[in-house]
This record gives sequence, structure tokens and C-alpha cells, in this order.
Amino acid sequence: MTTTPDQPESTEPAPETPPVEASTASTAGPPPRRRLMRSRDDEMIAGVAGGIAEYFDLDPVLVRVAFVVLALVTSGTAIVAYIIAWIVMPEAGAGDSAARAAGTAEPRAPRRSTGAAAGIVWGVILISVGTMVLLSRLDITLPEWNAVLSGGLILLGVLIIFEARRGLNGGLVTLAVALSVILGAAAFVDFKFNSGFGDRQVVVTRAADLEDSYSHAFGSMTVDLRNLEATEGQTKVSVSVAFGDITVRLPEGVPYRINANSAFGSVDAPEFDADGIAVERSYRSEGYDQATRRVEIDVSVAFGSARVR
Amino acid sequence: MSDQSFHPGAALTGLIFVVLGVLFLTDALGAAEWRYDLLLPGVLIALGVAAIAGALWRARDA
Repeated sequence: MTTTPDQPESTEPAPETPPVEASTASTAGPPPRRRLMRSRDDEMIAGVAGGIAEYFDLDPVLVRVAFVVLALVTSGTAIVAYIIAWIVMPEAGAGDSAARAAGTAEPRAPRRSTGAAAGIVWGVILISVGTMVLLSRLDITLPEWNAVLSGGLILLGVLIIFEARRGLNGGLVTLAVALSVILGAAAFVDFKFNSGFGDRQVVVTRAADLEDSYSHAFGSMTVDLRNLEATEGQTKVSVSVAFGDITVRLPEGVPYRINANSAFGSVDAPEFDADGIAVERSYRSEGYDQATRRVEIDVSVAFGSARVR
Repeated sequence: MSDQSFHPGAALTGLIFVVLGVLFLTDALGAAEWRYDLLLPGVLIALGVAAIAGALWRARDA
């Protein structure tokens, strides 16, 4: 490099191109695009809620509560949405918020270890649900799934105690909470998980064909009693639903009594609505007590909805 | 996070779920008949205790 008498002036940084600006020239232009990613720093199960909270700058607890409420209100559909989000949302790196804001990639820190317990539990859950649906579709008599699920809750509790050596395992606790609420609601309305899945329609015209109870775990079911020829005395039937929706068509011309029982769901009947937490309602149509032929219907809802028409 | 220390709050949380599981199991097998109108709020109380245990753990951890 040659020197000139003007060199001292030329070494002065030009106001238009200061060194700092030159070093960051590659990041100039449009701001880095924010990406929706699963959080690794704030995760209870898979970091979906934590990632959404970071993306929208919300409190992650609020997002989790919203997920739980949505899961209850939508009869479990939000759980499917969570699993889909788990699959499609990429996982962020450690310290992801700052990295994403700066548009720079940082090497990943070692992931917080939650042990193999969560993976085992999720595997058992998926296998159990798949087995339940498969056996139901094949019309194979199901075992006592309420007992199996209760055993699963005990297993979760034992795993949480085991994991206490390393702290509180949020993923296991979330699963245990969800399972506790499901089992509690099912027990409250005396629902058995041995029942069906998908859509089902039952039309009964003869009292002899009427089963003692009809129950449905997921999906929709219709029990049509409109043309039921009731026999002398009282005909009784129980209808229950866990997460789906169920419709009961009342027998025409026959006095009836409805006993509605809702844990977290809703019952929509001609004379009343029953929704909320642990609600019990009963209604007798006109002339029920004096009728020689009458029908009593128990309607139980754990999380779904029932319509009686 | 202090991964190496045993936390009694987490153990209590696990114990609560074990007890709940036993209650549900005995009912499902017909070994006992529980009053679920009392048990359902009991579940909520137990879950609240578990939540407090978790919160205390995180507060200690912070």
C-alpha cells in the first residue's frame, strides 16, 4: 500500500460507513422473520404452548390453561390439534428467543433431561388407545379399561415419585392431572370406557330389543326411541357419553322421566339445560306418575354433550 | 435447575396420584363404592396441592 500525504485523512472512518455498520451490513435489510417453534426452554410436554407463548409474547401458563379449557370445551379436539402442532412445529434451540430475535443461530445447549419415563408413558398411552379403538372396531369384548387407566394413574404417580430425585417432572404431572380429571369425570357419571368409538346410530322399536345401557367414548351416537313400543310398567335405559356427543330421541306418546348427570359436559333437554361441573337434574313429563307405560332415561355426560329431543 | 436433589414436593405429588389411582381402581373393580360427588371435589383439592407443590419447587429453583 502506498502512502500519500492525504493518508491520515483517509484513515478516518467516513461518517457514512462506520466500522460497526460495516460489520453488520450482512444483517441489514428486512428484519428476521419470526418463526413459530416448539420451545426447549419452557416445555411441559413438547414445548408447543411455550413456543406459542414466545411467538405471541404471552404468559405460557395462560396458553396452557387455554389448551386445557379448549380440550374440555371441544371434547378433546384440542388434544389432536396439540399433537399435530407437536409434529409440524420445528423444535427451537436453547436460548431460542434471543437467537431468533437476532436472526442468529447458536449452538444448542444440552437438553434438560427428563429421563425416559415420559417417552415410556406416551408410548403406553398411544398403544392403549390404539388397542381400545382396534378391539372396539373388531367387536371384541374389551377388558375393564377403567381399571387399566386407573392402573396407569398409579404408574404415573410412582414414576413422579421416582423422578423426584431430579425434581418435578412437568410432563408426567400434566398427564397425571389429565388422567385424574378424565377418570374422576367418568366415575362421577358411571361411565365405562369399554364403549364405542366413531359414529353410531341405534333405532329401537321393541322394548325387548332395548339394552340396559348405551355408552359412547368418542364420536357421535344417536339412540332413536321415537317408535318404541313401551311395555306395561316402567322401561328404563341409561345413555352415557365420555367425550363425544349423543342424541336421544324420546318415545312418542309415552310419558318419560329424564335423569341428567353431567361432570364437565352439557345436557340439552326439552325442559332444561344441565351444564357446568358436577350437575344433576331430573324431569318428569306430564302424567308420568300415573302412567301404566312409561320410560325412564338416565343421561350421563363426562366431557361431551347430550341432546334429548 | 438443581437436578441432583430429591424434592419432597414432587414425591408428595406422585403420592397423591397413586392414592387417586387406587381409589379409581378399587371402584372400577367393584371392590369399593366411593361417593363421587365427594371424590370429584377431592380430586380438585388434590390437584391443587400438586400444583402448589410444583410452584414451591419452581420458587425454590428460581
